Amino acid sequence: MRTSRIPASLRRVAERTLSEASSRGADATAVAVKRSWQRSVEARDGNLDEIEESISNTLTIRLFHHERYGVFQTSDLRPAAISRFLERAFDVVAALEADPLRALPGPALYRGATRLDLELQDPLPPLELDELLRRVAAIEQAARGAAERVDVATVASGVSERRSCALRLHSDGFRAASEASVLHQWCSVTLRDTEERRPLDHAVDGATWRDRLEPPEAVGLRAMRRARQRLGASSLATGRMPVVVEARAAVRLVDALLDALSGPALAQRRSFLVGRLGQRVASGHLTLHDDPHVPGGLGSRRHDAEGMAAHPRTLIDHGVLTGLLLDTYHARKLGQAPSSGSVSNAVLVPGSRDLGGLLCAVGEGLLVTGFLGGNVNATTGDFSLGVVGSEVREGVVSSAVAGANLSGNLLELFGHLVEAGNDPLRTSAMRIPSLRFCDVQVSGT
Amino acid sequence: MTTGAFADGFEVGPAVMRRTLARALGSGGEWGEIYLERRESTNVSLEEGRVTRASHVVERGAGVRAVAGGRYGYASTEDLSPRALLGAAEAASRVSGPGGAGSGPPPRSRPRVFRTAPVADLSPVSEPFEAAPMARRVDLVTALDVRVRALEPRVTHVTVSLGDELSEVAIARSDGRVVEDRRPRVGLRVTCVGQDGTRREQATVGYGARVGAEALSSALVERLSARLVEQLRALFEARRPPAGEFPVVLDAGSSGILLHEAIGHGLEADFNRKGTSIFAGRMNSVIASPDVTLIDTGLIPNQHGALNVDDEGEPGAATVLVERGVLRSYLHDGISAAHYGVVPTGSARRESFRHPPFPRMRCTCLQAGPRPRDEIIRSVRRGLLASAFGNGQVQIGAGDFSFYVRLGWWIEDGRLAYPVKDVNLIGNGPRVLAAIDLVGDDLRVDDGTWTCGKAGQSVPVGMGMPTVRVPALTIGGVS
Repeated sequence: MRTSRIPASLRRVAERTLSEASSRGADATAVAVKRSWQRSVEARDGNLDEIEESISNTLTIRLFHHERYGVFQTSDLRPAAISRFLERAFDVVAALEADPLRALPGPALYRGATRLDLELQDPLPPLELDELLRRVAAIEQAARGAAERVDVATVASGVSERRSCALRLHSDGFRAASEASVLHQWCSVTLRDTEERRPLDHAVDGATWRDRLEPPEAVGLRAMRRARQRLGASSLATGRMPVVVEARAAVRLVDALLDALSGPALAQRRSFLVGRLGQRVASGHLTLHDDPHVPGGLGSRRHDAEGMAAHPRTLIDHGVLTGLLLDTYHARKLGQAPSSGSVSNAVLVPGSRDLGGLLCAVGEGLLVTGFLGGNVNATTGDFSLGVVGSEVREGVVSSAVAGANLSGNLLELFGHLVEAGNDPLRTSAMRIPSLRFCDVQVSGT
Repeated sequence: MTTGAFADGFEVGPAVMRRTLARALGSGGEWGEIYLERRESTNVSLEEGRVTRASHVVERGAGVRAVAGGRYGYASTEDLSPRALLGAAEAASRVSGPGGAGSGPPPRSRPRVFRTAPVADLSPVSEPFEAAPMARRVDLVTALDVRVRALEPRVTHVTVSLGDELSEVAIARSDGRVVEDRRPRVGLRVTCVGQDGTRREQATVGYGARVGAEALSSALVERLSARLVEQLRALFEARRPPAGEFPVVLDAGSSGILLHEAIGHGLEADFNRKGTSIFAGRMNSVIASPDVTLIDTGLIPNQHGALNVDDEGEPGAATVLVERGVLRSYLHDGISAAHYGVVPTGSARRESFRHPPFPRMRCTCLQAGPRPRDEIIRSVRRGLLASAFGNGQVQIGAGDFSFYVRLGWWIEDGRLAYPVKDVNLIGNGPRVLAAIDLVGDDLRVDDGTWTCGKAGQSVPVGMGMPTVRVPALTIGGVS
């Protein structure tokens, strides 16, 4: 395994910490060191506005001692400080009650990790500052070039790059090194509308390799188009109607499903999906995979947070719940096989039509392009979410909508899923396409 | 923490500070600062009646900022060696280098001598958490679990999470001012799930303040348990309210989330300077009904949003934002104050040394009015009383905001008819402010664990509000 990118000093921190924890009598210890570097620039209205740069080194210890468990993290890596920190860690766990279910995953679960190149680390060196500045300028220029006759209040654009490397060592022999890079570029456009309203919308692009970013111009153009679509917003009449939720917004709905599949939520019965394994929880149009091996995927990984080898699996198969998000602790607690406590890339199997096709099928209804606040009650599945979007008339996007809200229950909503689009997000670990629902409660005036 | 020597605990001396600031401003920067922070936090959590999980986090580092022509360069490091600090300063200085803000005017000041400015302690603590035994924390969360179960037999699961932290900061500015501050904070959340027949409901209460372990009293256990159980009982009876536009009465206390979203963010000066706020260019004009006087304050002792000194080293303060409906001030940091030619308002805040400061709210309070609460409720023929809140969000440019009501009451003919739950309320900030027509005499400052997110940074805040009536808001219910 390549550990070349981890500085030797940081590797020694991990090794020393592991051996010191053992010599202090820990039953088991998991140590991780992570180094990250990040740089971002933001420009506004033709001028550079912000440059930020950070270097971060952290040490994380998961300590198992006399059937007691704690998680400890520090950025103070001076040797004496680490010793004091470990001492404190042992004091803290000593004050807890025993929980024999806490343990490391063990070698059997570490084995079998993919040897594929997941393409998580850009082979090229980080972008130079000049190149970041060139990109933010290009984003803004493209946005302004697409303004047509609208009154632009301000345009902001940004580019960021982050590189990180990590080394994980467990007292039962697990050892894994990883490297990652991620780049983002974004644009936000504020326009002047009537009544002193200044609607804003934005566009984001992200990738693990710079060659996979969109041209910066595409980001600016998309942000301006989106902002223009926010002009002249008016309210909508209350009623039930078909609704298309655009990919970038649909992420929030799928996130709410995933929250309800997590071990802590299930164990504490704070989940509306308790006892639903093997049952229908959505219409047949919903198939959702957890795929850790997507090349260049922003959530791709060889091992999960506990060190378990990551394998692709299906969480929801044509509407039937087939998988839960169980780390080893909650799996033991619930008497089930462990999978992973979190999703890597959430891949919702796309359909065949694009957003335009989905709108066409709707005829008259609502297109949701973003959510404004609101929440989901994970225990009951009841939700009420503010929406940003547009009316759909005769199958195409019509005037912008403000002050509207979607409400209902997630089981009912996903039961009303009638089509997934062919436009999954690639710039996020949530590879979710646009979703078309029928018969959704919309509140307006 | 002031032990005499400047920035003592950080082992960074004045000579290194001077060199770091000189390097940060070396290519034309006008002013800046070094922000040193050490934060230590401990969390214990209980489920199934047992405290079986704890975490402890230490963060220590520095952020160096250089400001030129209203722009900034910012760099942070967790390594406080002179070499790392100078490296951070070099990175921050690029904001004014080639391709940056150009060669600005000569620096206003370079620190020759650092002078430590006094900082008032608004949040004195008699029993600091760092000296409190772990058993103190374990006992409190256990007592909460026991009390909640004793009060309500339908409770099946209780989870309690108690976090305490101490942030110690030292700020050295390019004008030579140095401040040091200690910022304690505690956050406690109690959640229970109850089962009644086939119906399962979840209730949550929180307590957040700048206090020490002395606050972990049996009175606190009693108060939070009673509130939690009262909430759960109402949730078992609650329905979803109707959908559409109705009058809404906002209960005293955490209803302040309405002000936070509807107006507070829009008055943060950076949004106005950049032209993205709906309140841009409206200083001294009428933006709300004459019943609205709004203050943002860091001066309430031990409050979650209390601030002895802000994150640019300006003293804690209270700011009148709206006086009888007239916009009087934005919330400023150093950059926006210079832009508008006003004095900073002590509201520059940051999440940690990893982040640059921006104008942020502290504790945002609507001043009390003349009406008794009962009278306000009686005035509504058909509408909603909003009591327990979750989260909120605003689009500062369009002014549209929403906030989530976890529990409230449906009002029929001026009386509370039945509890309602899980409903999002939507409105437009300026329109709602202009429309507030009844303001209660019962101002209450909430003691919840509110945090506010902006530009990826989260800071603790507070809110206060009397009972208020808004004639029409969109209720995200079901018809």
